[in-house]
Amino acid sequence: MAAPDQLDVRHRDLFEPRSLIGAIAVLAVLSFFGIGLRAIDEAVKGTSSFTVGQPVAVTPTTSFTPAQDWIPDPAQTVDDLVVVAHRNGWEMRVIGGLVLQPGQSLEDYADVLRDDGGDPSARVGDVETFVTAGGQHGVTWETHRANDVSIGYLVADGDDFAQLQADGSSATLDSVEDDLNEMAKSMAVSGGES
Amino acid sequence: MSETTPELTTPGLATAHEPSGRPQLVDTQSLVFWLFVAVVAFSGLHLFHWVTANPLVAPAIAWLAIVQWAIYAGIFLVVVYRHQLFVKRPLSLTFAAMAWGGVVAMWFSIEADQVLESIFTQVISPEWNDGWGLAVSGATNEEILKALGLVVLVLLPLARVKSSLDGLYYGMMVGLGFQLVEDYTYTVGQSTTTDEVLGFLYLRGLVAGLWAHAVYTGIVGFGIGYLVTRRDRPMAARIGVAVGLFAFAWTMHFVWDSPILVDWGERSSPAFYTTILLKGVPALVVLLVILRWGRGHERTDWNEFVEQHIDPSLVPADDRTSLLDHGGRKAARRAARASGGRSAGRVRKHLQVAQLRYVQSVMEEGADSERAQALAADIRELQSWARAVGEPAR
Repeated sequence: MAAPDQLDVRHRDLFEPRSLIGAIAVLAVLSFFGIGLRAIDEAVKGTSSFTVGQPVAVTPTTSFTPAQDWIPDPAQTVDDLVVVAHRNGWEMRVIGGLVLQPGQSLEDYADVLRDDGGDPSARVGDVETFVTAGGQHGVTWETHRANDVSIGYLVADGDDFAQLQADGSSATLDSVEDDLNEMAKSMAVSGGES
Repeated sequence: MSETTPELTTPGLATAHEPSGRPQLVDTQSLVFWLFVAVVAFSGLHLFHWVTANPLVAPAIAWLAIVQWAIYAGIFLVVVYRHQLFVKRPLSLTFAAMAWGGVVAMWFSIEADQVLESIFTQVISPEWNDGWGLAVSGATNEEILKALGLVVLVLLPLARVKSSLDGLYYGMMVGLGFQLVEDYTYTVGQSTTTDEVLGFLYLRGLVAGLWAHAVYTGIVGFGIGYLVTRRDRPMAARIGVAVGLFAFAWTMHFVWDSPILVDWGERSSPAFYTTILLKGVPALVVLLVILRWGRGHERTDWNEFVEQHIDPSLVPADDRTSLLDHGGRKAARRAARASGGRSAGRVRKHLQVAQLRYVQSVMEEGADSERAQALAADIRELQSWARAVGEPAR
């Protein structure tokens, strides 16, 4: 009687056709999910993307420069109020024409938004400040849920301010985080006196 | 047990059987094995980075969630492992299946779900995607990627997937791995207290976990096992069963993730639990039906094999009949206890286990193998003990 490790030798060559074809087939399926779907995603974007490097006016007083590969969403975009765009499963909204209440700072307003989630299980990060390319004051914070992340940015000029809100999966955060930071820094608000 | 190995086989019986070989994971001569290792390592590194990237997860919550879901996995594994009727599948392949589900299928699904939803957003509409995108992408990507784990096991020659029930078992393990990692990420992502962590065990482990990924992939795995092992059936029928079961599992997964009935009731209300049952129970029922179907076939094969290839002094006809199902085994132990007391019942239990492992060993390695010889010696010793404690001779 043959020893156990000699019993089934039909398919035990490293490059035996069944092993080779099987490995290629498995790799092909994984490649489709890892690379192919992404290529389809890129392909269907077509010509509907923003013009790269061209600032987009959200309202007459608010603009931002979209990063590459973000797709505008005309159905949700409202003239003179909000521009909505998507990339890699993330949704981003830039809302302009907002005004702080008397005595209210950008940080105060950020706290209102941070507390207004209504989701007790959401973990909200601290507010951090940043400065836009035009030298305007901005704040940002992150909110983490099960597998999702929300990132908020506010940029003000006096009492007038604009909001960039992005929501998506934590799995793909790395792929959009730099874009979001750059777009937030590109925001420009022109308003009245504080 | 016994150190001696007397002549154990009846001439002309076991020698007629061609052993199938003992299933094992590691096979350095298989390119598919090396691909499996590479893909698990690749996905594992990415998944680890993703799971540990959330800066707001408290370490105590993360550890509690790990312990909680490890215990859940252990209980689930023990229940499924113990309910294998005739063969015990190796733990190495069991954990390999879990690794594929929990690491490879999980990581690739996370990526693919996002991208597919992005495609839906652009090709259909963001509103449609908000309602149905997750249901379609989750069911499609996750079921295919988990099923691919079964295909990998089938392609590993030494894994020796030999039956529809092998497919069902490994499919459940792939699904269990997926389910555990998903449950863990939800738990740490939404819990800040011990109560919340335990709440997830109740909600995702019990209320939703009994008809989730392990059940879906068990159904898909049965179909794949049927397709590749039931060569006595026409190819069209085998393809029909495999495709039909995949379609059913996909539909159940889709319905579960879809907005259908989602707003019917507040959490913990009767309507909420009714929704859970309506969405979940059909999958569990189908799993149990195909399990029964597969066991019927396995029972017939096992019975014929024992009749034709096993020395009847080791597995007498009465024992063979009583071993055909869990009820018969229990009845035999009860009868032993009735005639010889508790020790007789324990001896009968050990004898049944030894007989089952012996038959499996003969199937896989042959009656002359060292393992089969040792088990045969155990059986003879247990038979003499059974007689000593008062069991009537069989």
